[in-house]
Amino acid sequence: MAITQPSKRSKSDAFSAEAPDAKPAPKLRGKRQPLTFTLPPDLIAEIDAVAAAEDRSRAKMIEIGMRQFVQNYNRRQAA
Amino acid sequence: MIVIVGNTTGGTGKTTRADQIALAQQIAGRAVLLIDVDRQGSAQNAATMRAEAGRMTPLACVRLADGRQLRAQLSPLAGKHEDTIIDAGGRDSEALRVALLRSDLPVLPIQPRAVDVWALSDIADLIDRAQEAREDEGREQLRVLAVLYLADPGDNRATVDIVEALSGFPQFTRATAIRVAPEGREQQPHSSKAVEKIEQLIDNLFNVPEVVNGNHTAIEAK
Repeated sequence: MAITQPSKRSKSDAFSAEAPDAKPAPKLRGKRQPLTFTLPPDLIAEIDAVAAAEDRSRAKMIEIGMRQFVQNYNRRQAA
Repeated sequence: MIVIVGNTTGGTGKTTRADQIALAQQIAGRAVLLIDVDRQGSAQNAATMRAEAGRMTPLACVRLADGRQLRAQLSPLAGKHEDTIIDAGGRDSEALRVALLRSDLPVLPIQPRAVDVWALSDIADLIDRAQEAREDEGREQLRVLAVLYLADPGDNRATVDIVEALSGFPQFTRATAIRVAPEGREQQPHSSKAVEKIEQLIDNLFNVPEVVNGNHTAIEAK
């Protein structure tokens, strides 16, 4: 069985991390967070119709839509 | 070449020096980038105003928000330029520390005044710790150039005090002095004295070998 050493912070990392204004890097992955927001009833009905057709949940369809929105936005910004 | 202009105290002429070094290298035909990582953003503002005024070739300048961004962006940005000059601001910050870890030539502007003397031990401590971390990664030792700015020649107590104080810090391997506040080459009316001082600074920065063991005989407040 392989023995893994605990990761050791380098002197450089420690030096810069100890600056008065240093902040830990935000974690990009982790526990999903619940959000509460409102949508107009007609849009909810359309999302539900698509979700039913795709055999997915309402939340999953909203997530897919949000991901596409962010990707398209970033693509436009980069162009 | 990555040059960092920084200190742990404000108002020592860091942005002006960074701007002048960047412009001087650009005029010399080098591909230069100025990185402004100071919260005030004065270097970025100056570069923008200079470009809007149609002054010679616009200076490429980007502003990064903090040390995290500098750590992430420095290599790809510096890799596309012959000289990268970083205005790291006037406080102990993550950006200043990252720049000390990654730069080839740190420039430390100081003025002959009490607050700058008091701050020498702070920046010297940071330089020591940066040297230690660099050694750990097999990087070259820092060759710090202290630039004594607005130094009066002759019997001036404040200038004598700071020269004496500098000699007590072996971290500052080289030192030079600028008597006047040198304006840019584009200043009207044109000041040949100012141009001479900027050229002296550039020469000392890139061409003069270091003075070791805290021997600062190279300081001449001409």
